[in-house]
Amino acid sequence: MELPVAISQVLNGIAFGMLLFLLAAGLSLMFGLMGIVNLAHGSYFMVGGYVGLTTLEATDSFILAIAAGAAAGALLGFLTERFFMRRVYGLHGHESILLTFALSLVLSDFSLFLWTGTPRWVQAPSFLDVSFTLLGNPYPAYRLAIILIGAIVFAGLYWFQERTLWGATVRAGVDDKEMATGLGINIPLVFTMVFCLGAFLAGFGGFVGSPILGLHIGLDIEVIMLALAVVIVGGIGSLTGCLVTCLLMGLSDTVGKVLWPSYASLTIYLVVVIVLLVKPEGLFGKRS
Amino acid sequence: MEQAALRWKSIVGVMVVTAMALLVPLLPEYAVTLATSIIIYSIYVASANLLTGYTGLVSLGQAMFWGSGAYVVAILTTRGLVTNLYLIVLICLVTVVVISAFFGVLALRVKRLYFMIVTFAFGHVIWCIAMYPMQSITRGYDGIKDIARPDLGLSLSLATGTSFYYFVLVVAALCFFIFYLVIRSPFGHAIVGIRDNEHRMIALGYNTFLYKYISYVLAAVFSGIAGLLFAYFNSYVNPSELHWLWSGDALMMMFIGGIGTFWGPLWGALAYTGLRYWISSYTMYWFGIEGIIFILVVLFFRGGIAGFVMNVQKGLKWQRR
Amino acid sequence: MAEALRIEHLSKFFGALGVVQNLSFSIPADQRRVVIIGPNGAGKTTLFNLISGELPASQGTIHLFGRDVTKTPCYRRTRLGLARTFQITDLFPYFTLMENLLLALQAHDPCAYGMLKSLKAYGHLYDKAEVLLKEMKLWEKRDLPIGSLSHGETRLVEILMGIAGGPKILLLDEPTAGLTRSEGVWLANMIQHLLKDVTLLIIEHDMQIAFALAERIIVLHQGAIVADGKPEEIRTNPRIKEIYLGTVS
Repeated sequence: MELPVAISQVLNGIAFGMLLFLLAAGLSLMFGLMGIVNLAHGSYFMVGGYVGLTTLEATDSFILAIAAGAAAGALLGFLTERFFMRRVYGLHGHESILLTFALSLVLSDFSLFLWTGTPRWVQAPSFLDVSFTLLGNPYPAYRLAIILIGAIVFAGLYWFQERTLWGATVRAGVDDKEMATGLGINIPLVFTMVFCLGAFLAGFGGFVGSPILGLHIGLDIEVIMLALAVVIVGGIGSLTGCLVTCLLMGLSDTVGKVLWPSYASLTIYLVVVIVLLVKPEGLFGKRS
Repeated sequence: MEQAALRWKSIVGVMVVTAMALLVPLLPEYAVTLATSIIIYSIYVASANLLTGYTGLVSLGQAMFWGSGAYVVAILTTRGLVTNLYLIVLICLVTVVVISAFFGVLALRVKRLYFMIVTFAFGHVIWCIAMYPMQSITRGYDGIKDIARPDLGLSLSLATGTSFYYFVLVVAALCFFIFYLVIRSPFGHAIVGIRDNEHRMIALGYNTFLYKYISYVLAAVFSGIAGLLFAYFNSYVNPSELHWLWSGDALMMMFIGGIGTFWGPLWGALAYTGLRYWISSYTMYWFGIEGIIFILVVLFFRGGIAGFVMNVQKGLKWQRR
Repeated sequence: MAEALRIEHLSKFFGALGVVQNLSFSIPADQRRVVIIGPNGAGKTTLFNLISGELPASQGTIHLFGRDVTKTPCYRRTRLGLARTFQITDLFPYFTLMENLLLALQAHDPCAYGMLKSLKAYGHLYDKAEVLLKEMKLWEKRDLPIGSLSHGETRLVEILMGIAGGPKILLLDEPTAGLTRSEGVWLANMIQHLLKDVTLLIIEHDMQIAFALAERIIVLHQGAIVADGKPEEIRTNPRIKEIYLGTVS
């Protein structure tokens, strides 16, 4: 592979990694704070994308569409937490997995019903629908925008986590729930907020990523499998670790699909298996 | 009171067995086919139930063994490598035991939640391998077709729906009988102890790892047998038999039927397959409806159908008094 | 074989925190009731967890009946004659009393891995259970779910689970926890009479019961042994009073 092509693949991988980060951050937080694995997270991503698409078609405003997609995600997250997750906190971990899996089936068919099985493509907004020339090759500006957006979200989450009271509260909850409750922190409220934030990011990512990934039924499963792999391999409890793993995963998936198209998923999950057996808490995770 | 209840249960039991043996073959062909698939699935779910419902280990990788059993049959028969049914069964069992013995040692090293994720990951890796690297053997996405019915070596043909139904019924009865023995044995008692309080079991002196390992291998063996039956039944095998969605389906059927109960797997396979068949004829959104049903079961009917039946029995006992 | 238990330089660190520090003591096989006392956080339960094998030792050795078990996994130590009970009752919530006890009894029986015959076919286990339950006067409740027993009864069952396997040394972690004074005294009497042939290592919080039961008392404080001797000696030791009244750092 020549250098310019290689570089554009790397950039693609980083952009994809950023999209993954939007998903994995919320997933990781949910697992760390509440001990639940939310398989419907991919559905928030997909539905957010579709809702954004419909909004874009109706209003011609990309910004409005982003907001709608993110809001749809947040709403789904809120409903999931309020009506389903509340009932299975404290039960075995597998209940949440099965419940959210069932939910993802419902949302998938729901999307199929509303938006049909035809894959859809979203046009990037006109001011970004240009190409830069990178080392003599054109490179779409939109992907660079995604990378920038991802970096901004990371910075925002990091600031939120390290520098605000809310962030400290969430971290306290992750570290020691009982102690946090004992200190008067309203854990149920924190849970709901975390859920909504994670789902918000997922819906946001679903639409913002649609010019690159497209929208099709089955997208939810594809992204959740990668996001899960990130959370497992990267571990929970470290936002930076999550970002790094997302970028690595995005790169492996993108570059892998180019070099060994059939083996991308295999190698990623082989890594998952190895990590689970050697260091179950993940590469950047903290041993409980 | 106990005697009356026992007698009532025996009568119902005999009626059900008779119906299954004599009446089902009288139904139209599609019903016999459906019934055959339900029974095959129930063996699969029962094996998962042994591991999950009775030993407490949630595995998202049981499809790995069902699929292995199915592919062993598919590959050996369509390529004419082995024609003897009994040899095929032996090879299938050995294959499944070797795979589960290897993976079991690794998977059981980690805690419960991670065990579930590890089995999921293992299963996915196996699916990927069947899809791509081993494509020359497994025919990848296309799958293997035209698997002929087995030759029992007696002068019976299994080519018809009815004859194959009886074959499956006999094998299933054998499998469920073995489950029955295991569950009421000291081993069965111990694995439930491990499910409910592994910490205490260790303190009492049990080598809990060994119990869980044996349970894992046993579950794999029966999943493999079910997969073997399926390959002959369906005469077509493709990688979806190895996919984690099918592992998830086993769990769903288990929950719907009643996790950790003896008849739950049969109830679950029946409800799931029957509902899927019925609802699919009205709408294509079967997955969504399946999801709704499952959510309702997990939230409101945690004992599944078997639990519901037991509650009804208790309710009836109250009526009597 | 003169010693049931020998601990040498046993230490357990959690990070930099030394919960048990350089403990050494031994219990002769014919000693019957050794009671361990000490304020909260002294490391008593941790010591039990180290002896039973639930926690690996950071340093030191543990010998059971002359065998070095420092690296032996928890479940194997039971085979050598060790058993323990727990401060917080830890039974099998969905089983009946009889089923709970059978689990304890079948653990060391050759039938433990039996898969073909029904559990009910092993009459000798049921006979042993009958003997134990009748001694504790719980025979009539044998088919009741464990959840329907009173707290005092479940503390008894805790002990039954411990002695079912016929151990030669039994670790009792606060057997009277959660009981009223009179219930506790009654249980202590039960322990004295029924467990005459077993070496008992008991953690006890109630001083009256501790001193009444003990042949020998070991006092633990901040992970170290501060006193070890006959009850009368301990009773008159001024340092012990200081530890309990908190005038010592």
